[in-house]
Amino acid sequence: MQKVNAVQNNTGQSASVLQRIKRVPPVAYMLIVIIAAFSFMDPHYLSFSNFRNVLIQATPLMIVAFGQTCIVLTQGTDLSLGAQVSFVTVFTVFLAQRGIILEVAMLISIVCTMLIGALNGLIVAKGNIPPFIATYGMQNIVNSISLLLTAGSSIFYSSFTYRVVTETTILFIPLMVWVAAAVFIVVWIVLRKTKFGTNIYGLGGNREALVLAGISPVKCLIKTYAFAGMIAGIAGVITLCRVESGQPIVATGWEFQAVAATLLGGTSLREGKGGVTGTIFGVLLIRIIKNGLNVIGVQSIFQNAIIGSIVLAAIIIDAVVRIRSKE
Amino acid sequence: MRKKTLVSILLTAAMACSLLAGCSSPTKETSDSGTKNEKSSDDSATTAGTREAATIVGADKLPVTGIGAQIASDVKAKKDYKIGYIAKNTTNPYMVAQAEGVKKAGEDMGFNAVTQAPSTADSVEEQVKIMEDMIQQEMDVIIVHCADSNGIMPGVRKAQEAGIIVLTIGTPASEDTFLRTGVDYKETGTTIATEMAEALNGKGNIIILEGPPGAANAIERLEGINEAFEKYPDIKVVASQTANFKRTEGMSVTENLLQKYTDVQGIIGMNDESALGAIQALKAAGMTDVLVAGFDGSTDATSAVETGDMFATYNTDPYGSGYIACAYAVNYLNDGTEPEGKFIPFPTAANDPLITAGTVQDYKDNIAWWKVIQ
Repeated sequence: MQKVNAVQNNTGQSASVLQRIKRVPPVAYMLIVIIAAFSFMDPHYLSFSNFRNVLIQATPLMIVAFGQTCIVLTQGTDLSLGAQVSFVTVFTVFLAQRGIILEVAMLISIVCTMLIGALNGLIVAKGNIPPFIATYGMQNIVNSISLLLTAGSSIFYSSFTYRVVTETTILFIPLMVWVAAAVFIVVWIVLRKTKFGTNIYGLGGNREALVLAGISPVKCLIKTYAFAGMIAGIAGVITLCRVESGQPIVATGWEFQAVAATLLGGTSLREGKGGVTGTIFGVLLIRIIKNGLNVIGVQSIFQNAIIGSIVLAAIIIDAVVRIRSKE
Repeated sequence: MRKKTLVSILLTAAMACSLLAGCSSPTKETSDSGTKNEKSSDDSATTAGTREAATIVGADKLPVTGIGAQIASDVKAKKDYKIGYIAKNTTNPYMVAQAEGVKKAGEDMGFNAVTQAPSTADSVEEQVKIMEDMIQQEMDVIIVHCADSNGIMPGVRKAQEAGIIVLTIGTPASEDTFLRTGVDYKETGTTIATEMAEALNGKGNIIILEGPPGAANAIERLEGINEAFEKYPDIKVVASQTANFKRTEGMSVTENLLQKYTDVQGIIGMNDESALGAIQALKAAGMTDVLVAGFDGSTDATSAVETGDMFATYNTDPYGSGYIACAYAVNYLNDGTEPEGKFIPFPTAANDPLITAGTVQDYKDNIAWWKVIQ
């Protein structure tokens, strides 16, 4: 049990103010520089309505990335998360078209992604298979199911609920952004204040210590993947409200963007260090660059190259800072 | 041990499935019909809103003259308007040519043209994001080639609420916007089928290579073809199967069908790619007197018409569609001139869009839309 506590201390329960400032991921500073640069280039950029716009656009990926962060902390990646998001949009509409109340259908879909996640965890843990491969297989299976349910097309179910989620505003911010905030708080509490969270850090940081403390890594992995699946399910519901239809390929590639955002946010693939706070900055960085390039009117062909360069720069700066701080 | 075996079986199954999924994912496409998510949901059973039927406007009443690379207009912007265009992707020559049409209109008419496309090809979700960003830019007009009729609606609604005029090209939004242009898919089918039926003197067996299941443009095109053939009692469609808009599938499906149907006079592919596949299959089978028709007037199809391998194709003119959309938008911004309807197809039969042995030289030298991106 002592060793588990050691793991917990490693992730930082008590830290001085100075240490806390130091722990702000470099990506946050980068974010400030980029926002300043875009505001300088276009007066439309720095407005409250565009700020809200960026938050709305970042929300679905943000939620997926919170789940992905938990997986990355266990030294894994879940490549099926994007497929799960698409699946939720499709399956919810599929059920609603067959007479199930939309809100109930949403809940059923979230339960489904939890089960998909649990299955992922089972395969990874029991089969001792690299998460990359196991979840890649799952990604294809889930994608196929979505395509089968829709015959390759998109499917439609009309409801006012979508607009309640995307257009109701509380303190000028749409409900969907508050949902992301709620998910953040839950994940933060789980990671920092619960035994389950400690175990997630343990899986990535010191698996032997977990076993010695009598905790089953298998159960813990299954729980982690199921947790990430549930979060992806919530992201799926939000996405459904955004596109108002079941889209079998809507979230293709989000799993990679979520990994990138997680790493940008300072979570490490090797040590079981980091957390969801950094992930917020990672997602915002990606989304803010994209939005800024659109607003200043950069052609889409150049956008990917620019985003790639900035992301690489952020990671290199991050690495350099870390090496320096170790010295 | 048992559990391990179970897991390994599960994994093998997973891998097998992923292989299958890999095979069925579409490869490169080179036409407006060639994209996997044109499978929009606008067959009436699943569509949200209702849309106005096509209004055919005579060639002399259009705000433009000519078609394809020759298109021109005397419309001039009275102010420095901002017009945004959103394509479905940056990889399909058809989409690239459409964006070029908008840019050319910007030069000719004197407005500020911004063209964007999702970085994930055919992502309607990203199209909505681009629309939201364009609202922030305070665009006057947004022109979009929708990746999905229903999925684009949240973006369309937001833009309209912000007072921005929305036009669609090709795949429409599920509710009427200010204007839809681009070809009327049904009319393209009728025109090609009629041309073929006439060439066959109203008599013969036909094979149709359909588009992907659920693709709205292919469904409408097929309706047009069948409607045209109804007028010719001696024309018989012996087989109608999907070739998924792809050359390889057009070839294999035709090969298979030729085993069963040896007496075939005509093959219509739902786009140029599948028709070109059919030509390859016919060549391999040594059949030279079968008429093959496709749609879009792509580079390869033009060559095939030139060499006599292809009978006819339809110039769906993405370049001109982008251009005319801008002309209507600028006219409206200038003095509030409303278009004659909510859906004005361009090109139509009135613009001589057919490319056959007689017209191919002129098309290739002067008109072809793909010239603008070479």
